[in-house]
Amino acid sequence: MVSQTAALAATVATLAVFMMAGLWYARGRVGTAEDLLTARNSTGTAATTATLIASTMGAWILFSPAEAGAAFGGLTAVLGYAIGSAIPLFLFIPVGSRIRELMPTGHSLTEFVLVRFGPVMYLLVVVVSVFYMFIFLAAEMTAIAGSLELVAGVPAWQTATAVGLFVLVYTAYGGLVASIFTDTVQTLVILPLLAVGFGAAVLLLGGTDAIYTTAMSTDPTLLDPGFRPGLEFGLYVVFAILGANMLNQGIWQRVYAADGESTLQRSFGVAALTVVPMVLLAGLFGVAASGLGLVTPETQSVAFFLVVSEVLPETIAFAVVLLVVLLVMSSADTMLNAISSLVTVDLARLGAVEGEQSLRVIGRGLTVVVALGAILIGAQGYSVLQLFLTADLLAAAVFVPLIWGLYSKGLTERGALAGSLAGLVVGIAYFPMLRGLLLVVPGLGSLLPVPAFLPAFLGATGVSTLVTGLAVAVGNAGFEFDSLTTEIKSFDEPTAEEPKAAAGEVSD
Amino acid sequence: MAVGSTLFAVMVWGSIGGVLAAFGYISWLLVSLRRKT
Repeated sequence: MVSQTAALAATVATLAVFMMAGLWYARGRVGTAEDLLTARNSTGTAATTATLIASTMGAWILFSPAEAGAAFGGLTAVLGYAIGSAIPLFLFIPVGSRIRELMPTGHSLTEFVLVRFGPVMYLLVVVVSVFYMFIFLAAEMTAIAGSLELVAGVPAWQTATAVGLFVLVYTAYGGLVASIFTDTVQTLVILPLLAVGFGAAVLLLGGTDAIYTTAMSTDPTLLDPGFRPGLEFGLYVVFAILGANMLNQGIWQRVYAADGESTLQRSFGVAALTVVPMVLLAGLFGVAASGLGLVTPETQSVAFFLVVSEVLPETIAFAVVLLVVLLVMSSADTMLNAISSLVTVDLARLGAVEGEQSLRVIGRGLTVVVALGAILIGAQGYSVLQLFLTADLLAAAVFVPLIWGLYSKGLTERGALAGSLAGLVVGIAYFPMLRGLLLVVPGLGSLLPVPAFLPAFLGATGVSTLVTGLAVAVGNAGFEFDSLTTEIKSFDEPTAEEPKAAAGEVSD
Repeated sequence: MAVGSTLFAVMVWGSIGGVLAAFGYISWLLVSLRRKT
């Protein structure tokens, strides 16, 4: 086990270095609320690719994929997780281009929803989106607190507080500009650390042949590509991740931060291809942990760290600690800024806040509030995968009408709401962790189906798609897409016709 | 067994190679941009 003092010192030193880097870079570059929240058209391919990888690949990759590999279906589940992580990024290529075309001076998906559909759908999307992002942030805090407790015995509250406060300082000050810059540097450290650390770990475990043979002798289903529970997990996790990412304001911010169409396409494509091996490698550690007989039902959520702390030498464990800190920082700053951006932009649109100065104060204030909440939850030690799945289910039911509304003039607010709510009801009825909500309705208990994740996620997205399709077929909204350009404006420019050129220049 | 073991090795080392390739690509982009400016 790594010593507590060494782990805490390395964590604080890493946090301090990146906080200083973020503050240094943002100095003089955050002149307006637009710079703080959007950094529009300011990042080239390298920075956009790096920030996408860093933002989407949090410390959760060391927990959830490994847990899936150890307990939810072995290699097949891990493959599903890896492919599922890439699909949303690929989907953002056409969808991101479309939203930039429709509202070139926009800031968020919720802005689009408000103008395209109306206030009720908007409220639903804001609630689900903020809930998902807050869960992401809290799960990251839980992940770092839990991993340092396991590897070095550092109390969870100490880690959660240190990480939360350091990230808060540079994110509140430098906003998206600081987040993208630190993400770029963090990615350049994370990728080689991950590759070399994992490569060394594989060799120390006896090589791939030894891992394969051990897993096969312990439980052949771990490596069976046709193992049904693994296939089911691999399928529903695709829908879970897809919906959640579509409502992730952090990714929408980066759609706007990219300095052009080709940058957007190349960056999202390369990021999608990169996350596949990252998730796959982390997940295979769960398979290895299970094969080595290290996993019990109580410890399956920390399968990755069981291998690290029980089998690998201290030097590799120490490298893993640094890796976890970097993974957490890079996604926590994204989520902090994304939540504050989403709420600030919406407050501005609703006319609740006026003036550039007030927007910046509100944006920074919200960052503080969200960070404190995430620190509190992160110290509680909930299951990272369960937290994610709950938020994912809500998103899986809601995202289809939003994407459909980007292309179809006929979809009305009622149709979008009907699709989302129908998907939610079906999803919740099957979802093991939420179906209790429906049991409060008298007489409904006996009608509820057997709980299972696969029908929950497929049902949520499938029914939502079906009902939305029907609504489009019968609807005649005749929405004018041009109104998005005129109604959604940059905070800096009074007119929508001339999008402001980049001021933040988070250059490559 | 031998085929499975080989495929497993390809998956593991291929993933490690993929991660390093992404690192190389991003670094190359950054270096070429620095040279241009």
